Amino acid sequence: MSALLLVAALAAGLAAEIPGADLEIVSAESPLDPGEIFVAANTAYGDADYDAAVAGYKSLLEQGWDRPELHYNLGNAYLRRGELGGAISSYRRAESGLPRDQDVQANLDFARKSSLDALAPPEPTPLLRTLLFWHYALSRAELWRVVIVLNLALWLILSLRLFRRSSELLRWASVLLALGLVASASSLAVRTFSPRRVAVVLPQEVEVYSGMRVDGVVRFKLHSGSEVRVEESAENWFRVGLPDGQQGWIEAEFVEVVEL
Amino acid sequence: MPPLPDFESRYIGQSSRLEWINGRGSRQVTYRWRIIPRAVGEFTIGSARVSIRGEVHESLPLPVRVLPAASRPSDPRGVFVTASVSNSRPYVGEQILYTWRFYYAVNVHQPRLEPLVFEPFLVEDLGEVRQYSTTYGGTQYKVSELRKALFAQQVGVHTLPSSRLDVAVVVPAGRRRNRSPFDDFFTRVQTETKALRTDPIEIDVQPLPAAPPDFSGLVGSFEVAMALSKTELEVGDSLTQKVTVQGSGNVQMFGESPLADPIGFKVYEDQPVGSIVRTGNELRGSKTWSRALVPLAAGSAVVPEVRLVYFDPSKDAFVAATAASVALDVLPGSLQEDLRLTESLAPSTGKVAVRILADDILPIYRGLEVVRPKRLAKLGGGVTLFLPPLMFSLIFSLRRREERFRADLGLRRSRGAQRTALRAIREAEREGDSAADYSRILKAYIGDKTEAEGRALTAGECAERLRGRGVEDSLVAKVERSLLEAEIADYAGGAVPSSGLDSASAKKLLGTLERQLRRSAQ
Repeated sequence: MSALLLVAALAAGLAAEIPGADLEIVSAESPLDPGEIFVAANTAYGDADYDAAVAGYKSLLEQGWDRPELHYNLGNAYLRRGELGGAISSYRRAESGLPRDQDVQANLDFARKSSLDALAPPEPTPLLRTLLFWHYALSRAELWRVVIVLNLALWLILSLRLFRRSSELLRWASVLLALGLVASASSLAVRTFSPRRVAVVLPQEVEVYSGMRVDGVVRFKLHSGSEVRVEESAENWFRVGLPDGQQGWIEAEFVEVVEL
Repeated sequence: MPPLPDFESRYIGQSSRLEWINGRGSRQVTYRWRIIPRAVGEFTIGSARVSIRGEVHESLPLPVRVLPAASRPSDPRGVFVTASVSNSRPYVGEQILYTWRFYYAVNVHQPRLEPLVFEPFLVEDLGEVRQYSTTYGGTQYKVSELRKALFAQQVGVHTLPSSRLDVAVVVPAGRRRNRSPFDDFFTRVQTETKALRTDPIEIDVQPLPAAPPDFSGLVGSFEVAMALSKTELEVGDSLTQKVTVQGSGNVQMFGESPLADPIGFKVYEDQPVGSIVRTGNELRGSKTWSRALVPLAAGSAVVPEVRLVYFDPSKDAFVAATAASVALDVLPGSLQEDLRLTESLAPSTGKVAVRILADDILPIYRGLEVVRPKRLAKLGGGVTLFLPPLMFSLIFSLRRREERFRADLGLRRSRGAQRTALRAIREAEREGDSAADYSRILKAYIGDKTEAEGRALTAGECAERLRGRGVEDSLVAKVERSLLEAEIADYAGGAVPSSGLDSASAKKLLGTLERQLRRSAQ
């Protein structure tokens, strides 16, 4: 495991002291291939060395490989390590990237069963999900692809209309494509600039205060893995809301905020 | 305040008074304690000391003589308290009743009972304070009664300490000099605070005799009842067995199930249900264990007896409460017969529903494509987003230009003038035409450029039009001369030497004219 941690540290560009002479030394100038880190983390997971697996997956994420599959694997490693909050936050990130993936959904549901608090995760209403189906059914990457394809198709149709102005088919096609482009681009803009934020509780138990003071009134307590809506953030504190409308302030270090 | 080993003392409070007489001020502070003697006799309350600006002041010692109190039933104030237990020699675990009563025949205010101490007994409340009236020693008293169930935990002699009740008693006015805020001015009564005490109670807890191995730990009086939902059933059917233990005693000790596992049954245990009832005199309770029994084979089967061994203090012996065993008739399962009948028709009837034994997370992703760059990312989102509108703009501008070109005949002639002229020159070269032909080609070119019928123009008109389009005078003069010479030669019919206008000079003139006309057009 220490070899993997060393490799991960070097791959992340960090200076690390080498604890033993028998370890393979990888110079910082030639960082390890991401594929090798991924395979090493997977192997560690298979060997039940979940600390090493977590370190490997986190190293890849810190390098910029922000892939939902990595978040999913990290969630599995966290769950095996008994860190419910870390697992659920990782699964939520994986779900955001792979919204229709059944494995991600199954493991997220499994993790949620272990959560102590009887809180429904903050999700949009079924009506909203139906009306804005593309917004909730597609990941950000998929929305990008839709925007690019619709954009290309729209300008192509508009170009064709320069030569065949009288074509009704082209006229309606351009209108529909323009509507689709506006809808998908709006969704993408909302997801990018104003995403929904969900705070996942990390410690076994954490107190939620009436204000941004630890000596204030404790309004309620949350437990590991609970997902609450983030209403506001200020000075290392988050104002979170429960489904019944109750709100309180929680210290930022005790939650993992996931943007959806 | 001096030490008061012979008294119980309680600080009540302080008061101060400020006086200003003949320009001289004085302040008086009074500290008050209530003291209660612990025994009869003569005692001395020591000197109280106070230090004012470093100077110590002492009061004189105060001698006190304590006389024996009158017996309670004839208490002249008409208030007293008692405490008693139902059994002063209980067994370990036996329930005894502790009763505390406050008798009062006069009006009282603010009774305050100090917390009762029952160590080392377990205590259970037996309801709220009861209020009633009774006659005691010929006097009508109102009584406030408190009951507790006590359970001895340790063998030996234990003493319940005396309890204390502080109460303000209403007495007729004039018997006390100090009046309290409770004194009623109009009825001329006043209150006097009294501390009432019960006697300590000694309890000698007895050990239990040698217990049998199946002793349940219960002490008291208990019953066991068993109920079965049916006594005839088929293989595969289920019956519900309910066993209830109820009685009075240390019902907190209801613990493990007294049910033995039956032979030939599959057992599905249910959660036991318990309740405790506080009747006012004792603590009673019950607990019910339920389970479903499914016979595995046809024939006779027995639900075994239920046996509960407890200690009954009233009999000074261990007693077994039992519920008798029940014999069952188990018939062959009819469902099984049906299956056999249809077996030949539906060979798959032997299938059973899959039971989920455990739940677990699904495995991790292992595909290396996770850490390979995406194609779309290589292309770059911005390029793919802005390239199509740029291409459209280009096509749009080309299209607009083409349409304008088509719509403007003059422009079309002007743009194509050089190309047309060069084509005509090449044809003239092939056919060996004369300078006059090149002259006509030049005129046609000038006509196309200036939106006129070129062939009808004279050399002078051509020069005029070129000058009007901004062509340099020297070039205009050269063109005019070449055209004029070609005209003269043409009209002379060979009498005049041929002009110098040939294909090369015509091309050169065309090129020069085209450049100057474009420049001047810009």
